[in-house]
Amino acid sequence: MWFSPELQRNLWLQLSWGRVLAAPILIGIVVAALLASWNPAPSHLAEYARWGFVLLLALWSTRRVADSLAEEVGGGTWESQRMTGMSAWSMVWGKLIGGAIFPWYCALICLGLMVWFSFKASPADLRIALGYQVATLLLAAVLAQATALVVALLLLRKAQFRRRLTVTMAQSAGLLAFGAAVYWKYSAVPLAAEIGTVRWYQQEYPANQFYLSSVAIFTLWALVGAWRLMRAELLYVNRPWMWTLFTLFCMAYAAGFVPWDVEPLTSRLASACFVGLTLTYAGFFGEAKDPVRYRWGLARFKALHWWRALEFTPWWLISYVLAAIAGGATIWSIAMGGELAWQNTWAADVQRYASVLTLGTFAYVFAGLLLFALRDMLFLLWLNFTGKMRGRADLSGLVVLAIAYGPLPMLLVGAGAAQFLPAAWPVAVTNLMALAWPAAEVVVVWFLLLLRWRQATRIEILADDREEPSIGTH
Amino acid sequence: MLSVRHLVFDYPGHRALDDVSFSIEPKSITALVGPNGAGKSTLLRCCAALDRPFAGEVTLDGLDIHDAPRSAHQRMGFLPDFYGLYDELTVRQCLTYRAAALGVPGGDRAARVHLAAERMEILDRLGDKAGTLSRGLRQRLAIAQAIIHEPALLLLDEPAAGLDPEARMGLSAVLRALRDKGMTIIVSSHILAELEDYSTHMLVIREGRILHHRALDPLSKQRVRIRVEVADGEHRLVDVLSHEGGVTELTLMGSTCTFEYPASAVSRHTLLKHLMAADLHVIEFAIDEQGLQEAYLEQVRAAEAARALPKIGHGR
Repeated sequence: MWFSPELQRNLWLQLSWGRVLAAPILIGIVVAALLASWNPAPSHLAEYARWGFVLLLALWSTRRVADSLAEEVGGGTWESQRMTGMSAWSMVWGKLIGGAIFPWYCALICLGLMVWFSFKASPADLRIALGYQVATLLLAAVLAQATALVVALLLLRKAQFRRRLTVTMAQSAGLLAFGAAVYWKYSAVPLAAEIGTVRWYQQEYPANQFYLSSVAIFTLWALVGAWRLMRAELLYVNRPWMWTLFTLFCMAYAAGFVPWDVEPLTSRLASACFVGLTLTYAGFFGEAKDPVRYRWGLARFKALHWWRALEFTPWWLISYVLAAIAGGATIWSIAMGGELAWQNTWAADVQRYASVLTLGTFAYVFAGLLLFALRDMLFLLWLNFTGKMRGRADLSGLVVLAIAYGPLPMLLVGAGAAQFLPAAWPVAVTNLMALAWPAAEVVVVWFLLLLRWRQATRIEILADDREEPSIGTH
Repeated sequence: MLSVRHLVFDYPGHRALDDVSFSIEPKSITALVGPNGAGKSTLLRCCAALDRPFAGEVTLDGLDIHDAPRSAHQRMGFLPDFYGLYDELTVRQCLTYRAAALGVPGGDRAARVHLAAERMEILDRLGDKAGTLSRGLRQRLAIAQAIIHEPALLLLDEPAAGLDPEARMGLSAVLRALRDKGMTIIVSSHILAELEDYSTHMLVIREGRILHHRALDPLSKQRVRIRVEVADGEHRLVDVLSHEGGVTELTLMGSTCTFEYPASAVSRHTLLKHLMAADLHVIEFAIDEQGLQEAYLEQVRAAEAARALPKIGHGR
């Protein structure tokens, strides 16, 4: 057996001879029925086949991939799998391909039909576009499945593994990833993209190639993510290099899309800062916030075991530091006379609604953004370290933040207390004094977190002679 | 074989393992005993490289299992308390999959499947689906999966839970046979009666700490406790034993004497010969094995007493 044992097991379970024969027969009957009744044009048949592919892989296979992990956990076989000698990569592709082998089998039949009918329908010069289409669909399917597996593994690590919820969330994430991957192709720039170009870092690239390359790169990142999470499940030591690289990549990728030529450096830095902050929140909600794990990391940090401490460094902290660096650079760039490209566009719209916002105060806005993000992280940690809240801390935190950034500023403005707006809304931070509000909030939440931390990491003492253990080399 | 040093494991607000250290001898069956919540499962999971401890290390033949979990897994088998099987696969497929997943070379897999099934006495079930097996047979299949790669160390967490008496007896025989084949086994349970049949050592854990670790097999000790019973009206037994070299801690209860004596078969044979020569009406001559339950309770009582002492001191 040259391939993954996990794939072999899935083949035994899913690809019985009955199923292998039944799938093409059933699809053939549907096609024959369509031809016999409506006799649609080949281009329409190609469209139906494409929808068949999309439904099978975006809907069914993402569910199957997440369920293949959920089945293991629910069925009590996951621990046995963790005890195997299989590598993390072998487990990942065994689950990605193996877990959804039957949907893939059916989808590939649909893809074959799509290509066949497209050839029959389209002139020869569209065959190149068909190649891009096939490549985009295949990559989007892999991206969707890898995303579903990543979400399922994340939920498994968060110890909130409820089978139905996990599968639904993983499937939804996979579906979103699939939609995002094919959106460019089919909706945003339908025909223009075929011949148009994309401007990235002031260079023009053929749109088709650029979008396809982007999908391929993000698919690779999703696979890397699944591999790293599987490694963690198999108890390999994972240091956060990949998350750091991923954050840097996303920041650099987004910074390339500033479409205006006004002071591109400042705008690029600002874009990178926004992406870094977005990933700070994404990393926070994606990771488990077990106080024991934080305590282990701090203990290693205090013992100057830097190499071991890295293993426990939270993702959100890495993204936040990178965002802060980009934010600091943005502020510096503005101070040096740089101008934000957006000032001429959406900032003017924002200004109409928030009269306190003036142009040229973006340096304060960025400092405010970083302080508010830090306050949010500390507040969310405070919730997660609260024993009774631990299971629903993230959801509760999301609700509180939604209120804090939504209705609360509106209430302040409505009540004529706009002077307090800087306490609630980062874009209302317009001067150094206004920055004191978020800074004070950070200090207060930090103090509350310290109190909660002491409570959360207090170990139940059962004997009088217990001491803090030496952490040795681990 | 397995060495655990200063192991510490925390759950939020609760220390599950507190400075746990012990070593396991090769080719032994160690009963890991303790009440519910004592830390047995956590200890086994740390030893199986399924959970990473806060501090301390676990080595298997010198290999740090948390530094090289994959290598460790290829040398150990683990059956968790709540295990599952792939119900839709046949017994042969379950075992073949497991062999492949544990890195058994393709050419050896069929032989390993046959051997594991033979050891667990499920050869006649190779074609049956796992989901159709009885609980006892499922247990055997689960153990067969855990030993398919001939591990040096086998960890079993509550393996007899839910088994009927007949299946439990079968499990005892299986574990003894595996030990005879050279495997080292750690079995956790809070039901001591089931461990008594096959354990050679006892490791007592309570509130995350090791209370005691000792050999149980009397023949592995230098001295054993012997019980001699004579017919009613025979009063010379104590006199004869008092003059016998090597007899210590002699106690008399009715017509039965118990005492410590050298464990070797030659010594015991000589003693019996002397008793016969003294024309005592011996009706029973046996090694007085201390039951696992008794030994466990003795350790728990000793620990409780030791714990109570400092409290008295504080009170003064």
